[in-house]
Parts: sequence; C-alpha cells; structure tokens
Amino acid sequence: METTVARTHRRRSNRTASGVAVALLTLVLAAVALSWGSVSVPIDAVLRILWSHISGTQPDTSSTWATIILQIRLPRIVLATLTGATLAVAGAVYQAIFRNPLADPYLIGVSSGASLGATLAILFVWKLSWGGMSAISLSAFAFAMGTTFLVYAIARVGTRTSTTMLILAGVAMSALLSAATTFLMLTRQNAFQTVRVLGWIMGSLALASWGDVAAILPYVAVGGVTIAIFAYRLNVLQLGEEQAHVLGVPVEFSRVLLIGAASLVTAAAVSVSGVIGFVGLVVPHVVRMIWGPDHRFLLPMAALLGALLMILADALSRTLIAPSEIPIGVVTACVGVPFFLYLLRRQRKEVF
Amino acid sequence: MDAAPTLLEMRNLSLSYGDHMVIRDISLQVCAGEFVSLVGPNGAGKSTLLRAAVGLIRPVAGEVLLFGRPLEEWNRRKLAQKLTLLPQHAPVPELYTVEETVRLGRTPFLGFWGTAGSRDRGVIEKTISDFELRDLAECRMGELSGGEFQRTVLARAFAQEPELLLVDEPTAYLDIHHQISTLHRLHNSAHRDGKAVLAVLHDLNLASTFSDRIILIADGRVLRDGDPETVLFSPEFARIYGSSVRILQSPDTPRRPLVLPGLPETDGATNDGIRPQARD
Repeated sequence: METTVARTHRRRSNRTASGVAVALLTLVLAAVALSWGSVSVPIDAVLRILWSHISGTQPDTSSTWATIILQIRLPRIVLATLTGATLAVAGAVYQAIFRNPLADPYLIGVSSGASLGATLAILFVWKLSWGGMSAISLSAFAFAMGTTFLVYAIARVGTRTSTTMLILAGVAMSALLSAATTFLMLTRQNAFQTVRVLGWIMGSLALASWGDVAAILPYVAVGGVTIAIFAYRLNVLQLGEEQAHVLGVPVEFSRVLLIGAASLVTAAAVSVSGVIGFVGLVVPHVVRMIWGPDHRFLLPMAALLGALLMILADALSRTLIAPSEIPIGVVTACVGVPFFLYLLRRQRKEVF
Repeated sequence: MDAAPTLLEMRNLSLSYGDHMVIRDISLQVCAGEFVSLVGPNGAGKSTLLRAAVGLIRPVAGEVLLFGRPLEEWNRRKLAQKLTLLPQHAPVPELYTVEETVRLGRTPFLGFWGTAGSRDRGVIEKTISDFELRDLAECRMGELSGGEFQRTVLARAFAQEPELLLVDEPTAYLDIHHQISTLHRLHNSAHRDGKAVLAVLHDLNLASTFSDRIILIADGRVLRDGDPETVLFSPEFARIYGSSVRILQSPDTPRRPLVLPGLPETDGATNDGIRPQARD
C-alpha cells in the first residue's frame, strides 16, 4: 500500500566518533587561539607554558609570554568555553520545553534584565562586589534572575504555567526593560558610559579574568548537572504536556526545574560576557540537524559546539581589527549565520 | 462480560473549564476485553471525558476509578504502565525517527536517563514489526505520510503496553483502508489481548461495526449506553441526530446497523421509512 522502502536506511552517524572529533577540534582551536593575538606566541611555546604551569615547573620561555597566556588569554578562552557551552545548552533546553524552534536562552527576559542591571551599574558607577564578581556582573546577574522570576510569576495561573503565557510575558517584559535601558542611556548623556553600555550589551570577553571564571562556575555547574540529569525527560517533554503526562512524567515540576536551571546558567554567562546572541539559538539546531534530536546526545554535543564557536568568535573578535576589538556578538553572527543558512537550505524539510 | 474486571469507572463525574460545565454527573464503566465507543455531537464533552480519565482535568464532583482504585491514589508512573491516552493530534517533533518515537512509548518502564532493559528492547522490536514499521524505522517523522504517521503514533501507544487504551478520533484524516486497519488493531487488542479500549469516534458506521458497546453523549450527559443496535435505534439517538441520518438494518451484519446520510428534504422524498425508528 505505501511507498516506503525508498526513503529508508538513513545512515546512522557514529555519534561517539563525532563527539570525540569535535572535542579534539575544540582543544586544537583553543591552543591556536592562545597563540593568536597582538603578541604572537608560537604554539609550541604555548604548550610548554601550559605544561609547566600544570606540572608546577619553571617555564623555559619568556615570563611575559607566560603572563599573557596564563593571566590574559587562558581565562578568556576558559570563559568563552563556559559561556558558549552554557548558552548552547540553555538554548536547547528552552527549545525543547517551549517546543518552539525560535526559542533561545533570552526568550523569557534574561538578556533584557541583565542589560538593565549592567546599565544601572555602569551609569551610576555602582561599587559593589561579591564572590569574585564585579559590580556590573553582579547587578546583571541579579536583574537577570529577578526578571526570570517575575516573568514566571506573571505566567503562573494557579498551579500551572502555560508556555505560551511564559513567552508572551517574557517578550512584554523584555520590551519594558529594554525601553528602560535606552531611556537611562539617553538621559545620562555621557558618551563614554553609553559606549561602555553598548559594548557590554553586544557582548565582550575583553575583561575576562580568573575571578569571572570562579564566580560563574558554581552556577554553571549546578545548572548544568541538573540539565544533564534531566536530559531524557526533555525528549518526553517535547511531545507536549498531554503526552508527557500520559507517559508518567510530572510535567509542571520538570518544567519549573529545567527552566530554572537554564535561566540560572544563562544569567551567569550573560553577567560576565554580555548579551551574546545567536549561539543559543542556532547551535542546538545545527546539532539536531546533523545528529538528531535525542537530548542525551544533543546536549553534550551542543555544549562542545557552542564552546568551539565561542572560542573561534572570541579569537576573531580580538585579532581581526587589533588592537581594537569587534563585539563578540557581531562575530558569532557573522561566522554562524552563513553556516546555519547553508544547513537550513540543504535540509529543506524537517528542522525541528 | 460480567466476570471481566472493570478497568475504568466514572462515578457521577462533573467537569468544567472555568465556569463552563462540560460534563454533568456522568457515570460509566469500561471492562477488560471490551471495545467501547463514545459518540455524540461536537462539543458534547467526549474528549474532555478522556482527559479527565487520565488526570489531565480535575473533576468538580464525582470520581474516576482506574483498575479499581481512585485516580488520585495512583502514582503517575505506575499508572502510565497500565493506561494511555492517544489524543487526536499527537505532536511529534519532525526530526524524531520512527524507532525513537515508538521507543518514547516505553518511557514509564525506562530508567531515569531513558535506559532500556532487554525486555524494553524486545517490546520495541516486536511493536515495530507488529505495526509493519520495520522498513520505516530509521525514517524521520516529518518524512512520513499521514497513514504512516498515525500508525507510528499508535505503535507508540502500544509500546506502552497499556491495559486500558483511551483513543480520541484515531481515524481522523485517514483514508478508509487505514481507518479500518487502525480499528482492527484496536478491536484485536480488546478481543484477542483482553485490553479495554474506549474510543471517541465520529464515524457512526465504524462505531457500529467495531464496538461492543456505544455510549451516546450530548450536552455533557450520557443519553444512552448499550450495544450498537440499542443505541442507534434509541429515541435519544433520534432526538440528537434527527433526520440528518437514516439508520438501516444491515443485511449481513445483524445487530450492527448501518448509518446513512438523511435525504435532502427538497427533492420530494417522503420521510416514510427513513426516520430512525424508536425501539423502546
């Protein structure tokens, strides 16, 4: 009766091999990115500096190089890895929970909250710090989490939360907070501060330090482990509330937990890196198109690919027009969009 | 039939969406080995009833008993190992393969991280071959025809190995061949495997042909509950469907009447013999 066999026998890509390959590629790229920059350090010197640092011996290279690698470039690359992985994973979680291919980690207002927080800290020169976070990061983080809670509270009716309500409340809240941010920038009329705010909003890792890494690591770890544990449940939740319920999954609890975890890691990433777009939207799609939608593989793969893209984007952002820097969000878009569009065209049919 | 255990029982159930009462004081039972159809006009509350049976809607009054125990006493995962609901539109992400989709039906039996035991793998394998999905196993859901898609979704429900199957319009959008093969599978699962099936059906002929019992619902109440012949020839049925249908005895399937469209009134046809005849 049916025209079947012709379309079948899809080649099963060897997932483990792909995972290892991408991981190795990321490591190589990280090493190359360490050697790139206004001061060029040869790769072998980079490796020797890293090795002597790990083994605790005295490096046989210039100590200036060691400082550049260990104190400036390495924290930057580690932070790029963390934020790239975080945004990609959070994007995958949001897309599954909201069952919406347009969902990204900023869907329910994390970015606009963080932007307002950072803007306030910059414009009013707030001086506070806690747990290794600067005033800007701290304020951005607090506002991002606050916005998420507020949006969630608005969307909650009784004991249930509709995903449509969440999206709409998130979009509305984002519009309000963005308006507030713009208003603040315009009224302060301080060109220097305005440029700083804009630079922050476009995303940058220029000021990355080991302090930033240490500050966000606990949040990223807690959120990341939670998401990893619930990876299979995301597969079930993607079938919709009704089917997930019928398959024995506590829908509301899982949703709250996963949205909370994804928002937490996003807020942490955004607070130190600014609003870096695109990674969280597109990396999950790329992984899904190439390796399929099973979150037990999709999430770790998205983390790897997100890290890879971010390391690359950061390396380009600080080298292309050195000594100036291009905002990293601009680079992620320029690198990622053509690749994504190519995949999209090639795929033609199902993308989600 | 009396000896078969009652798998689903609704006692004086009332359901509402907000202030709008959808179901008023309904009582019904479905036993093991039975294929029961829910029929009635659009908006009668049939789908709502199915949703309440799995706990998606909390009753305003009355209670739902599943396998002899009140719904709220059930652990959700344990219940999912015995009961499933196949909604009219079962969304499946397009990128899932047929095999992955069927596998998701095993969720209530799998480990937390979705790890399948040997029994689970056996059931998945068997379901895929039972539903003739072997050749399609690696196809993505977005590539399937309507019939293949529906078959996969039904296979997913069967992979769950439910004792009680609630299905909402399983034949919608299917051609006649697929409608009948779908109902054959459901009918077999009741009569051969001893499961209980409660199906919302709009096609009254299919309901008449496959059901052991038909429950007629309108305005949130059970109007009639009985074998196809009793229900289709009942005055309640005539009141709901009026002259829009004609009920005829079928020459080759006794006790399973045929339902035909009513004749247009303007072409001079008399109403003699085409009115549904009240039996009691």
